[in-house]
Amino acid sequence: MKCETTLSMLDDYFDNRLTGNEPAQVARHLAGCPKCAREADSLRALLRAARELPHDAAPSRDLWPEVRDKIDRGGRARLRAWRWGAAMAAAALLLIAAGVLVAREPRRTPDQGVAAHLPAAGLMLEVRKAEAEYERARGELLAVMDRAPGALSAETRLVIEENMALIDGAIREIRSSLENDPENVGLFDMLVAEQGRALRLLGLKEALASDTW
Amino acid sequence: MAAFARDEALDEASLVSAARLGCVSSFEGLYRLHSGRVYALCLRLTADAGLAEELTQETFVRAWRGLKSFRGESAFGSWLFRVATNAVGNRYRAELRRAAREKSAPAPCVERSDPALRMDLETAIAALPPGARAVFVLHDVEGYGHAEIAAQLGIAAGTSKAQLHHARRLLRETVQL
Repeated sequence: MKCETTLSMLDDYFDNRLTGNEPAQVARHLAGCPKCAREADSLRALLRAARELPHDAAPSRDLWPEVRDKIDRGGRARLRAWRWGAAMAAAALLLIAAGVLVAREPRRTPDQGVAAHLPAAGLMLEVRKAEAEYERARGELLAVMDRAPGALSAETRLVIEENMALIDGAIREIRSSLENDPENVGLFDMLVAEQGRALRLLGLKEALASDTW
Repeated sequence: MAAFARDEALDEASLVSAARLGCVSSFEGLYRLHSGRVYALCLRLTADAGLAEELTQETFVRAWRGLKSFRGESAFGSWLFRVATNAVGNRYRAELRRAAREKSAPAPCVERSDPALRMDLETAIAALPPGARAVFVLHDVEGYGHAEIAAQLGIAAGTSKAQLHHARRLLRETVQL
């Protein structure tokens, strides 16, 4: 084996990547060629020195507080997203529950007087408050999603948008039911079904929890 | 010594389990165990203390976010190293792309074998061109194979091998061994 060939194979020789009788050929040449042996010794020394370099080093300052801060900020962003989702779900559930109670309220005759209507009036007030809360939470979430489109993953955005559509649908149905057919005996069953849909909105929590960010 | 290593591994496993459940204090324990190694790796790969600190932080933030994907099939330290190498690799690829766009001058490197320029190995590694430096550190200091290095740095395995040869030649010319 020539010197040139040997030297071109030195890297592979030390990295154990030669095959067949190549390692023996290189070793034989090195044993009889001082010039190539010096090259091999130099490379061997470099590789040993590289392996012996320290594997630990201390940064100029403790980096943990900054790592912790970034972790906390990420966690708060996720928590905010979940809270908006939960607020919307809670608002929808309240609307549905109020709707159920309104629907079950016995029909009153005019001679029962104003006092007899107070419970239903109170519930409708709750309905309006819940609607306002829902609209506020929805608006905030939309604003955040618009301001920082990259803050949430595509999967999370999809989950939020799907759940918002579900809540909107539930509210539309409740409004329609209460306004157009308050005495329909099937209203209770329909609202219970809506309640089931709304409960599924709480899946938002799991979706957000499983999101990798 | 073996018992100590076993206890440490058990402690680490407990910390990983708790951290995966969201315990930040346990994750801090993992940070204390591994930050020195991660920082040393980032420092050698980048040859820039400030950037290495930034990438060390990024590594741990990424690790926290990706803990669910850690299944315990490898040691946590090995997994964390891959996270770190990927973080550095992302910067490295971006740097290469930017350098290609701007056609900027290559990073300063040591090409001469003048004995007066001989230096210690750590300094010489830092003076290598970025590509050669990254491959040398990952292969000869950290023990990665060319296929893994190629995947992490976004280069071909043949390029990794050529860069390693280049780095070894430069270092042998400049380092007092």
